[in-house]
Amino acid sequence: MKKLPLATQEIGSMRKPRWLVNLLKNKNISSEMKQKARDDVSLLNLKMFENLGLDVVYDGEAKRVEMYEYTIHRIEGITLAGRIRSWDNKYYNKGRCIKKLKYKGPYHLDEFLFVKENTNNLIKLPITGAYTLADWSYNEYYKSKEDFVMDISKNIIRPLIKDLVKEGADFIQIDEPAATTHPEEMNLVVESFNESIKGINAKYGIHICYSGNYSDMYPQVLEMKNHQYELEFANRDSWKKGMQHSNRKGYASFMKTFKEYGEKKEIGLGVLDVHVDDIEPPELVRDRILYAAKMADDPNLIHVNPDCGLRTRTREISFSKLKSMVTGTKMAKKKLEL
Amino acid sequence: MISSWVSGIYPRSESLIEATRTYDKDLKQLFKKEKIRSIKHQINNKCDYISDPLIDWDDNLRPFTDNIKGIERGALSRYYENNTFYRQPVIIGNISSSGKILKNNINFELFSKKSKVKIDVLDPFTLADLSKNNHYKSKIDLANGFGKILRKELTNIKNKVDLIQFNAPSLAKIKQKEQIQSIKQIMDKTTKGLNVKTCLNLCGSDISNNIKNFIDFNVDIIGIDFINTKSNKLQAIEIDKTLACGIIDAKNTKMENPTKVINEIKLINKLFKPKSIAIIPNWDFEFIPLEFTYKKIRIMNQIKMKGKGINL
Repeated sequence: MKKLPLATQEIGSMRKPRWLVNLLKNKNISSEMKQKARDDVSLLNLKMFENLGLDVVYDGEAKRVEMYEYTIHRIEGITLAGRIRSWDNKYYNKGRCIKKLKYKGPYHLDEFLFVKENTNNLIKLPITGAYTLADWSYNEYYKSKEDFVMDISKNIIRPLIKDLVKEGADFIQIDEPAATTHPEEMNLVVESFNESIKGINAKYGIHICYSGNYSDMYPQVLEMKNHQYELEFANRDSWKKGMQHSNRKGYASFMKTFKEYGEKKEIGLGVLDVHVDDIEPPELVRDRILYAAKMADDPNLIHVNPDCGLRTRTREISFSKLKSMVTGTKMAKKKLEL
Repeated sequence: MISSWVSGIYPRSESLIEATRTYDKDLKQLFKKEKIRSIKHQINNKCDYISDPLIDWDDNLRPFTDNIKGIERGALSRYYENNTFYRQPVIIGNISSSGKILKNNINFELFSKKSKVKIDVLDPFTLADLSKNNHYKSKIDLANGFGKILRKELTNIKNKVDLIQFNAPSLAKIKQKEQIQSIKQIMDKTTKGLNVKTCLNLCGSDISNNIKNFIDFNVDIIGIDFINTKSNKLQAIEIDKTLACGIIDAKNTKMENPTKVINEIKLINKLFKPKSIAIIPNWDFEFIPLEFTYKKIRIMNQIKMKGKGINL
């Protein structure tokens, strides 16, 4: 895969248009029509990302309900328990593992093939990782969390990746938002990641967000066979422009650790806070990138993305944020003469 | 004789979740109706203390976050290692309250006169630890501020309450003896002279190496999370209080086997020789759906029944 310094990319989900949500709820609409509507939104997202100038694209997860629930519906052995609060009146469905899990087939393949057919850009395919699937489920079957996680890694995620890579996927982002919620389990996160990709040649990223201190991943994470970290930073950062450590406090701690350990993996730098409607000025995006590039001693290691999926924002806000991200990245490239 | 009660916030039923999503105009009534049902369920399952299921609290801090002077609502933050988030209180000035926060946010009118009433609050240190402190010199100073607020709040409702349970997940994580002693002093000031039974519930962590630092807190009941603290790895130490065993896993839908729980209680009793034993969930039940919560409360009752003939 060719090197693209400061490549811009999306992380995951975009909010679905209201008309799609209503259409999917309508019992009088045929499943063929619903599939067509999902394809349309997938294409819409893809073309929006291309038109904005993103270098690496996917379809904004237009065909998935949500990263966890979509996946567990496609694995044998997990049944829905009910809804659990995420915050306030927002809930997510949580599954119970009640028997040995079984892989039922490549659940992201159709959407990947659709994306592949409809873009010439680089594709980054997001999938939910084994550790997070286990951490977010109730374990009623396996003797330990370790057994649960490793069975998902070896017998669900690895066959899935194998099938996707066989069909042309060459950059896979493994979403592990739970990875740093139990710092004492970092060895398990690393082992699970490595088992998931064992023997399968592709570029791999790990996306982690909204938990803990990323520096706590060290030194164990050095053993992880990922090529890129896609991390949430902007949510932790100030909105002041400039490259001083004090203005870039959301990035400083991790970047210092990254440097200390002499890391050479890429960083997918979260430069957009997906939990606020305010649009980051391009100059702020630029300074966040320049700061990280300086700390990493190599701008080639920095890729640029939002903190997380933008599904919590309206499509209009998401569009404006991504536009600012692309403009800010261009400004950083100019400054770095890339 | 084993006693039992539940802790903290309950999950909402599926119908209530739907109602909150559609902003049903009768939401207040629906909350009340479901609270009545859950309170009745506690009574039917012989809970020794009855508590408000707090299903109208958006998180364990929210009534305080929204009603204390000197606090602003901050960003969504992860609630410990859970996939559940709370609004972080941002401390922007000296904190003070009207003293009516608990009075206004707990439905005391739903309890029968026969019931012994328990209320749940986070302890002062946990409140401080979960806040973003932009004002006080230190976390301990802020905890002291929260202690004063809690004292005022608790004084105003003490006549309606038989047990005050301080849920203390942040305190349970502390390892330094000196820091624990500072917090003990704050707790002493918070509870002194209230003349209500108190429980310090050290939920959410393994405190096996640290139990001795907590047993001299001036409370009537110590709660230990025996899902995270493995009883078979503990050293014997005498606890001259009631021991509330957080032995019901509030974060897993797998149902407890009453016989196994009784065996563990026997071991715990032998290790700690407490005044008496209670069984409680190791966290709030809001981490499992309501139907599983109800089943677990029924199992708690079965354990109590099984434990009747045992000399504890």
